[in-house]
Amino acid sequence: MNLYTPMPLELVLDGWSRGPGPLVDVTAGGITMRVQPVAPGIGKIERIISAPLEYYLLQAYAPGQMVCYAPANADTEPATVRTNADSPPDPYLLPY
Amino acid sequence: MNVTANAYGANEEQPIPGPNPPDDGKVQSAAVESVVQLGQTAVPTPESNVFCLTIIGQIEGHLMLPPQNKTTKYEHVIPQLVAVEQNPKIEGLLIVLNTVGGDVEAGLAIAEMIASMSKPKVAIVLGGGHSIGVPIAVSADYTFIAETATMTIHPIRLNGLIIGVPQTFEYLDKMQERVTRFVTGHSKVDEHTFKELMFKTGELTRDIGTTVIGQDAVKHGLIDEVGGLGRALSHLNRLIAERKLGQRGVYQ
Repeated sequence: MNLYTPMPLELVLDGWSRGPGPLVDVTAGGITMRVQPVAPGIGKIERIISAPLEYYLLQAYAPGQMVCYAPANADTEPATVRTNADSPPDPYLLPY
Repeated sequence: MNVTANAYGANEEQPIPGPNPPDDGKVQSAAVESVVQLGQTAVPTPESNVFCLTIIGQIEGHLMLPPQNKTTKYEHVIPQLVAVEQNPKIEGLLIVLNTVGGDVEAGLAIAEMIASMSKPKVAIVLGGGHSIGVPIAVSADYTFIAETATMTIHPIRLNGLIIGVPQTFEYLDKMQERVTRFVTGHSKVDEHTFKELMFKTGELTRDIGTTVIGQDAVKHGLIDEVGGLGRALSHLNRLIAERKLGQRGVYQ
């Protein structure tokens, strides 16, 4: 990786050793995305892994947006949640 | 009342357009106005034919940067550009830049994608378009810079373990050449001027290179014009209209 920036690298890379938080892959409504859970069933989008092309133009699915991947009611098909293999397992991330 | 389904699939009641309503002298609300004019209460919102792409903060490449960085993620921007190119409703792209640079590979990938698009694209540099932001800025068909915006041009540096052998410097030179070739190929700046700006000493406090501000960027040929949002949008609309005219000419 070559960082080409006038910003001091010690500022850019501060906290590098702590790494990103636990991430989970969520599939719901035809979109697979990697989210960072912030509460049970709610996560912040880290990135979209696969989705129809038009979803990339929607602000609601941009990285950094919050998504709810818990089912709205018992009849609704739950989202598939898979803990990222690189992240440490966290029991409350797997509500289904 | 007519019952019709709206865009979201929900049924809503619509009045049947009738004769002119009685003029009772009262100021009519926007909803009443829309009933009179359009025969419906749900006023259609105008859909923009321009997609605005914002490139902010650090351009994130293959590695996730720590969370204190505001980042533009290339793995999201690249499919966005594909979607813009493919979507028939989008006729032009407005790129708004306020970036401090970032990953060379990711920045050049975004710049190459923008440059290869067939739809009209206009870039506007606000605040700053530094380092790898320079190739992204010049990748558009026409570029604007705000009067107070800056662009820092400086040499690429290597991160991590560096082996002190001549090959390291050759590699660094090759990386630099990629940026230089792209910038000189997509703007009016010549290679000599760009390298002169890149290796100038005494301008930056922590590095070698130059910070060009607004009018200077235009003077060196990096950017086409000093201007803001209004100028950028009107230029984009002109490019869209010209493209439409050209397409009609081809079909006839």
